Amino acid sequence: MNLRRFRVPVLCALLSGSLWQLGGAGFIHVKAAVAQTLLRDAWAQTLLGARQVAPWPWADTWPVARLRVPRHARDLIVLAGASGRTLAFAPGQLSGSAGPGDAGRMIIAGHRDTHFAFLRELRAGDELQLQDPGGTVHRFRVSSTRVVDSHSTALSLDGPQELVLVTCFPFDAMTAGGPLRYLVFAAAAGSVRDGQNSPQFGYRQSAIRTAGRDDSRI
Amino acid sequence: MRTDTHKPRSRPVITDQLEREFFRAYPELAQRVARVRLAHRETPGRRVWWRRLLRNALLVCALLALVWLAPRDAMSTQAETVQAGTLFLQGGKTQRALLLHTDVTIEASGIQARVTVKQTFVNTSDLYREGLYTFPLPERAAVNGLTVQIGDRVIRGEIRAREEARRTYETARRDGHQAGLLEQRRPNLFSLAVANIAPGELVHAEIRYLQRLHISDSEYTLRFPLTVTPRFTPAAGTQHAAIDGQPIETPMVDAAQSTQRARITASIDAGGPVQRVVSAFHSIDSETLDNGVLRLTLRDEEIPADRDFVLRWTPLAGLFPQSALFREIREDGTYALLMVMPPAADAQVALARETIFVLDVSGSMAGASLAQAKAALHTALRALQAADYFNVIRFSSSAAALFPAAVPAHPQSIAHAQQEIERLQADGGTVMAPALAMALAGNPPLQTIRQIVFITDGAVSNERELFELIEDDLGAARLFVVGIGSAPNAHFMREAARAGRGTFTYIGDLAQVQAKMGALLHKLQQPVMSSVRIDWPPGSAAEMLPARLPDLYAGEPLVVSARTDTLSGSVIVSGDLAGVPWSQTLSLDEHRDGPGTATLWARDKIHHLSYAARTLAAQSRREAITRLGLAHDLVTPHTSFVAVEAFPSRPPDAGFAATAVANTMPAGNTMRVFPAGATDAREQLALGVLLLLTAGFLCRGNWLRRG
Repeated sequence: MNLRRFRVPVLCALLSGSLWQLGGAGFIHVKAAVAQTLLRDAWAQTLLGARQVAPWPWADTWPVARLRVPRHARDLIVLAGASGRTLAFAPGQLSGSAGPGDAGRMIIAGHRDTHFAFLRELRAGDELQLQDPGGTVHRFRVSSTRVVDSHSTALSLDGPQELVLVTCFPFDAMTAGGPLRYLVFAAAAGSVRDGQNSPQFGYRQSAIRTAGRDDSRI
Repeated sequence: MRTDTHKPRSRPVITDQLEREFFRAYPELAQRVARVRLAHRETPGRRVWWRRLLRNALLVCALLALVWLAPRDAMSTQAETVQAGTLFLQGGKTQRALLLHTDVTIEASGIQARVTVKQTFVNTSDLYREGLYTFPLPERAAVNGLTVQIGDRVIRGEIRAREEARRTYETARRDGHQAGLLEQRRPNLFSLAVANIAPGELVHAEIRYLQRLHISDSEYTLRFPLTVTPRFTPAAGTQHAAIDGQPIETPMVDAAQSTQRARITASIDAGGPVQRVVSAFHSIDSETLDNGVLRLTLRDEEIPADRDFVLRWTPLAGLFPQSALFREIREDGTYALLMVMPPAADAQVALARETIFVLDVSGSMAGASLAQAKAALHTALRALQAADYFNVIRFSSSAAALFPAAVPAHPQSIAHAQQEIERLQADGGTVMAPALAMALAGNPPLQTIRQIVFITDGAVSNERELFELIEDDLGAARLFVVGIGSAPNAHFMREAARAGRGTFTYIGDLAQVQAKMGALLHKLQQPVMSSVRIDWPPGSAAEMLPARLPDLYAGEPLVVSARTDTLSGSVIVSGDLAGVPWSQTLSLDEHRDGPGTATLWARDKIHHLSYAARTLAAQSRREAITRLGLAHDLVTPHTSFVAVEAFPSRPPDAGFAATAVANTMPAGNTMRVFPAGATDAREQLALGVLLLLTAGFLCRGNWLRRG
């Protein structure tokens, strides 16, 4: 038997298999990056007053906020809903969690290997800026980070205004689907009304007001 | 050259022979072919160059990828995993401060139950506190009592108009009096506020209510809800959303971390021996007392408040009453409660059906709920007959139909539907109206009756709007609601089914799907008792509820409450059972005393008024409900219980804080579960690199070296 005659088919199979996998991996990253570009248009329309702007015709989600992390030069559009389908394109706001600027916890989930890879770099005190569809920029400061087991932990959605970023943990795990989650908690640190409703984050420092907390509610 | 000696060997021998023959015959052609071949063949030096480049590139790629994939400073982040699984929220301000315990006593008798719920708050903080607790009660519960016991002082609640009650409570709270306020937030959702609980003090709030038992197939069912399904209030385009009241905002905690425990005892007086008593989700012990009353206790002394307590019992075969009449006389009139069980039909009238399945795939359905819903849907699809038509509509934030219009139930369309259903995932909000409108639109094919099977956990807030949609667009169709999950919004579902003249089936876990869906499907295929009417004694004025009598499916009794001025005579109940007229006469003289009959009638009346949005102006509806609530001591949307202690107990200078007591998350509800946070990119990349490396080594070991 001459084994050499199988060499070319085997090589072809290996190479195409490799190409398939690498392409798949690349596609995930390309999708994550390209979607953000498309989302910027949808967000610009949202700021101009349109609601639930579908970023592409068949989309079942829409931008709900823009998240900026000045220290790490991140600028991400956040979509509604946190299904796997949505998270492929952008970080997603867990449906049922508070909206940007509302009282209660707003939970934004993202993939640890694409949009939210930078969460591991976040340290207490880092500033997060969240722009709501009305143009107001809400500022948050990272207060703590935690690792939790998603099987045994519940996250209350109530309480003072707070932003919680969620991603998978450990960051370097080879396979997806583990039970651990990495949570970044950020407390509200004032908000700024962006007068021009412009898609940019330009704002006047003097306009910053601190969000008061009302603990005596019924 | 190696290549030359090698090349012919790699070709089929016969071709080479033919070629040699050919070239021998045409030498000039042979020269041209040789030239062309030479031009296309790389020199040995060039060949080595590009193959080496390829090989090195492969290796560099692989190495780079390995470096990128290798865990970076994994250890530094791993140090924090010590906290994995610990609950970081417990230190949050909604926990710890107040512990809560619920003590439930259920006394079922005849076709109604009297329930006492005792909630215990403990102020474990060092501040004077206000306890705030939102809790569910069964739909149609007639809440008619509140007692607050603080320390050794007992304050009885009094019924007041809602605003007045709230003002009284707020004044008491401000002035340091201990006080309790019981309000209705939704028909099945109530909130209790207790002000000025001293540090370390124990507060018992006792709430009493009456409810009618659910009767179906000779079986009584009683459900005590222990937690609330998180609600979704659609934001835009819903004009009535605001009328239903403010959005529900109850903190939720996981069952494992919840300090809430419930203790339940029940007694059943079925008027005779009970054949079988089952608790759907909790183990119970039962004993028969001397007076024939069945006494039930939980096997676990306490249960976590994460799923509803459901009790079902069946009287001994043949002892199920075919009719019952209860009467209560009050100053303002005589009240009657009437129950008639129609006979089973003999005839099997098979009618082709158009069945529209509407499946809720909103975020609140994620996890076990969706699995149950899918299983229920599969069961229903399998039961379709060849002559039937069907369609599947799924909805979350938006609605979409599987087929543009209902299609005949051919095996291939059913298979297609089953495939599509398997692929559905739960996410997004619960916007039901478009899905309902889609299901109700158009007309069913000729000679078929339309049945809509609606599978949902009912986590919506704009209930009234949906009921109106159903009532307006129903036509001849029937709406059957299948409730899913451990804490479905039973009020919504029962009312949707009522408005849709269908039934409500509740499925608590995956194991029940077959049995429950089987019973429902059987019911859907049974002939129906229609044109039901009740004739009261001539000359009497009876105000009967429900005003429009429903059609009765097999195994369902007719239950009617009425206020009348007649104390004697005969009541004739009649109907049309699969084309055969049927009637039964009941004598008003052969009644049993039914304390609470008046209360239940008032509750039905309030309910009737609440949904009579289009026939009654808001103002007069409000006034009528307030009058009924005040007359019958009932908590309604416009009347509340308020209990205030006469003397202040909090020193004016002592601090005061409000604390919301969190509800326990329903079991199986995965709103608490964090979304997945990783893609397959890394895994795919690793696999790709592995394959590439293998290919690289193959080249290196063999093929390339030959270059």
